[in-house]
Amino acid sequence: MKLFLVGVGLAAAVALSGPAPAADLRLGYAQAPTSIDPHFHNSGTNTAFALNVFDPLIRRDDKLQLQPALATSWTAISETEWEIKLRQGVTFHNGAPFTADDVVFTFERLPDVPDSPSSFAFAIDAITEIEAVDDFTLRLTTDGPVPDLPGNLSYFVIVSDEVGKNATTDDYIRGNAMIGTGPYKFVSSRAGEIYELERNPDYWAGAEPWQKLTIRVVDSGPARVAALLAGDVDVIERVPANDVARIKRSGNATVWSGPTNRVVFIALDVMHEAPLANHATDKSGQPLQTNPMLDRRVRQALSQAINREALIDRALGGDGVLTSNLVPEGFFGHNASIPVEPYDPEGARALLAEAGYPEGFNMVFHASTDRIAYAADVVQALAQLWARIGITTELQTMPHAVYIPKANDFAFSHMLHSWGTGSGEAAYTLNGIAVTRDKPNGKGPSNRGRYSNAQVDEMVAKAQRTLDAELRRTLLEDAMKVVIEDYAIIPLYAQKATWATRSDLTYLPQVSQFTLGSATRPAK
Amino acid sequence: MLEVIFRRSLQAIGVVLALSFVSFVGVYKIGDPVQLLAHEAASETEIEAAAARLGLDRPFHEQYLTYIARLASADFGTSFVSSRPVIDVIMERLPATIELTLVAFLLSVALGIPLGILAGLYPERFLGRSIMSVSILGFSLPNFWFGMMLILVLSVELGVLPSIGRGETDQLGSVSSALFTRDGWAHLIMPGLMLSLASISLIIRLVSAGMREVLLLDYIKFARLKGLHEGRVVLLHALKNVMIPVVTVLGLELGSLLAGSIVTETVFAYPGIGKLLIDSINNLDRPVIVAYLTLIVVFFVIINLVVDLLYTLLDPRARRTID
Repeated sequence: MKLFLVGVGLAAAVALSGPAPAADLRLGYAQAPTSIDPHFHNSGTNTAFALNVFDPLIRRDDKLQLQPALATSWTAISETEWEIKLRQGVTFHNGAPFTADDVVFTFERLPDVPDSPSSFAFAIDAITEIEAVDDFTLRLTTDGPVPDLPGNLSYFVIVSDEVGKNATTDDYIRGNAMIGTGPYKFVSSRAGEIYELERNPDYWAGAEPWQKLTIRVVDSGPARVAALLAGDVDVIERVPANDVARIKRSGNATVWSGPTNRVVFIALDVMHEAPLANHATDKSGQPLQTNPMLDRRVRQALSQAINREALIDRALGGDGVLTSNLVPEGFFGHNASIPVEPYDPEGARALLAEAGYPEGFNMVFHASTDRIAYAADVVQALAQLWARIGITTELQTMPHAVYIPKANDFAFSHMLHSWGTGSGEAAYTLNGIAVTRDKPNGKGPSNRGRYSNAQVDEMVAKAQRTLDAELRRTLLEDAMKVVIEDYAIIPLYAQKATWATRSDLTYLPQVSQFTLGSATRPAK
Repeated sequence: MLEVIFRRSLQAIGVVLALSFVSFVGVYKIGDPVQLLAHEAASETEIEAAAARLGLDRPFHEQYLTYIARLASADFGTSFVSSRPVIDVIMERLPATIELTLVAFLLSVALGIPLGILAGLYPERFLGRSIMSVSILGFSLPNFWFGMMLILVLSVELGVLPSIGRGETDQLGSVSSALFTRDGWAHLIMPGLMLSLASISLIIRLVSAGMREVLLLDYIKFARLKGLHEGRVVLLHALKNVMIPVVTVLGLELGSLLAGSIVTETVFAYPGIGKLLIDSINNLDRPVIVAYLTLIVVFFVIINLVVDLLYTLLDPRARRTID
C-alpha cells in the first residue's frame, strides 16, 4: 500500500515537472463589471475586466508608467500634431489583422455609445482630427498643445473595425462582438456572476500561462476570503484588513499588497460666508455667524490635530501610506519638498485660539462608508482626534449613492473624499479636485468644497497646455504646494491595495488596483 | 372560485400601482444616478448629455407616467447601468432565487413539521426539550453568522461543499435548473439551510404549540377511545387542525424567503435577484429596483391567493367566508 502511494506520488511529481502544464486560473472580483462592452461605462472594474480581452494603444504597467502596447511609439511632431506608430503583425481573436482602421473606428465609437452613463469621450476630446497615414501610422491633430495625450490614449481599449461596425452594446454582452487583441479570448458570461475566458495562444506579448481564466464576482469581503481558503477561487482582490492575519496563518494562501494611486483627503467648504444650517455651531449649540473654515488657521488646526501615523496603524490596520501631496509619491507633479503635516494638538489648539475659537466649536462631518475602505473607522478616529482640540464632531455617514449627488450640490461643509490619480500625473488630480469649478469646461468637476485660488487655476491650466516636461513638472509641483498650504483640501494618506492568492501563485500588485490574469504567475 | 381569483387580480393591480408609485418616489428621492455613475473627472456637459440619454432630465411626473405607460405593456424599461432590458436582467437571475427559495421552503416543511410534531407529543422528554432549545437558537442566531460558520466548517475546514455561486444546470423538458444536478444541490444546501434557519424554527414552535393544544381536545380523546391507531390520530385528525395556522404562516414565509434571500445571496455570492437588488441599489439603477419591488408584490399577492384557496381544502367553514 505504502509502495503504491509512493508510486502515485512519483507519477504525480513527474507529471508536474514536465513542460509546464497549462493550468486554469480563477479570479474573485469584488465588484461585477457593469457592462462588458469596453466603451459603455468608464469605471475601474470595467477597465480591469476589458484589459483581459482587449489592448489599449498605450498600456500602463503596474506602476502606472506608460508602455507600448498596440502603439509602439508616439511622438509630438509639432505643438498640435502627434505621430503614432502601430504594432505590426497583431491579430484579433477572429484572425483579422490589426491596422490603423481599427483605431480610427474606435475613436469614432468612443463618444457615440448609446445610453452610456459615462463614456470615454473625454480621453479624445482634444483630438480634432485622426488620419491614417498608412496601415500602421496615425497622425493626430489636437486643438492646442496636449501633453496628456499619450496618457489619455491609455484609458480605452481598441475594438475591431470589422466586428464593431454594426455591433451594439448588446452584441458585446452576448459575446459575439467581444473580439479583441488581448491576452484572453472571451468565451461566455453570466452577467454579474461569472465570466469565462481562454488563452489567446497568438498574443503579441507572448501567450499567458493560464489555459482558462474564470472571473467570479464575490462582493462580500469575508465571503471572498472564505472562497479563497476553500479553494473555490485562486486570486481575490480587496482583502479585508482583519482577515489578512487569518489568511497568512492558513498556510495555503499568500497576501500581496502595494500602494495605489488613490489619496484619501478632507474637503472643507471655503465658499459659504455663513456656515450651512447646523453644520457648524458654537459650544452652546447656537449657529456660528461666519463659516469657521474661511479662516486658514482653523483649517490648519484640523490638519495638525490628526495623528496620521496612528490613523494608518489603527483605523486601517496598516493599509495606508503617509502622504503630504494629493498624488502619491513618485507621481509626476508630486512635490517632495512638502512635509507630512506633523501631529501637533498643542499647536492646533493655539491656532484655534488665535482664530477666535479658544473653546473650539461643533461641526458635522459627512462621509460615505461603502466606497473608501475603512471609511467608518477613519471618520470615527478623526472625530476623536478633533474632540481633543475642542472641535466636537458629529459624524453623518450614508451610502455613496446618496452622498455623491449631495456632495456635488454643495450640501456638505466638511467631508471625506478620495481621488485616484489614474493618469499617473498631478494635472489630472489638481484639475479634478482643486481647480475652481467651471462646469461647462470640465474644470474642478469633483471640487466639492469649492476651493478657489486663481494662482492654482492659472498654473494648472498652463501645465495642461505645456509640452515641455520640465516646465510642466515645475508648474504642477508649485501648484501642489499652494493647494496644500491653503489647507482647504487636506490629504490624509494614500491607500494600499491588497490581494491574496493560493500559495503557489504570485500576484504583482497594481497601482491601478486592477485585478488581471496577466499579473498572476505560478510561483517559482 | 373564479370570481375570487378575478377580484384578487384587481386588488393586485391596485397594490402594484400603489407600490410602484411609492418605490418610484423613494428611489427618485435618493439621488441622481448619473452623478454616481459618471467618471470622477467627467465634465458637466458629459453628465448632462448622459442624463438626457437616460431621460433623467425630465420632470418627475413625466418620468413616472412614461414608466407606468410602459409597465402597462409589461415593459420594465432598460437598466441605466447596463442598458439591457430589465426583464432580461431579472429573468436571468430569477430561476436561481426560485431554486433557493424552494429548497429553503422544503427544508422548513420537511424539518419543521416532523420536529414540531415530536416536540408537541413529548414536551417533557429530553427529545422534545432539545428540539425546543435548538429552535430558540435558530431564532436568535443572526443568519449571516450561521451562513459564515457553515462556510467555515464545510467549505474551508472540511472542503466538502463549494462556498460560492450557483451550480451547473441541466435541462429537464423545457426547464433548465440546478435542481437537476448533483453540483446544483451541492451549491444549494448551505444557502438553503441558512435561509430557512429562522423559518424552520418558527414552524417547529408553531406545530409543537398547536399539537399540545389540539391533543387535549375532546375529539382527539374520542378518537383514541374509539381505538383508532395513534399514528392516525396524530397525523390525520390532530395535524389537520394544527395545519390551519401553519399554512398561513408557511405562505407568508414563502414570500419572505423569496424576498429575504438578499443576505443569503450576498454571503454565498449566489447570483439571484436579491443580489441583483443590492447591486442595483448601490448603482441607483432605478428601473431594476422598481421592477424588482413590483415583482415581489405580485409574488406576495399570488401566494396569499393560494393560501386562501388552500384554507378551503383544510377547513370547510372557510369555504363560506372566502366566497
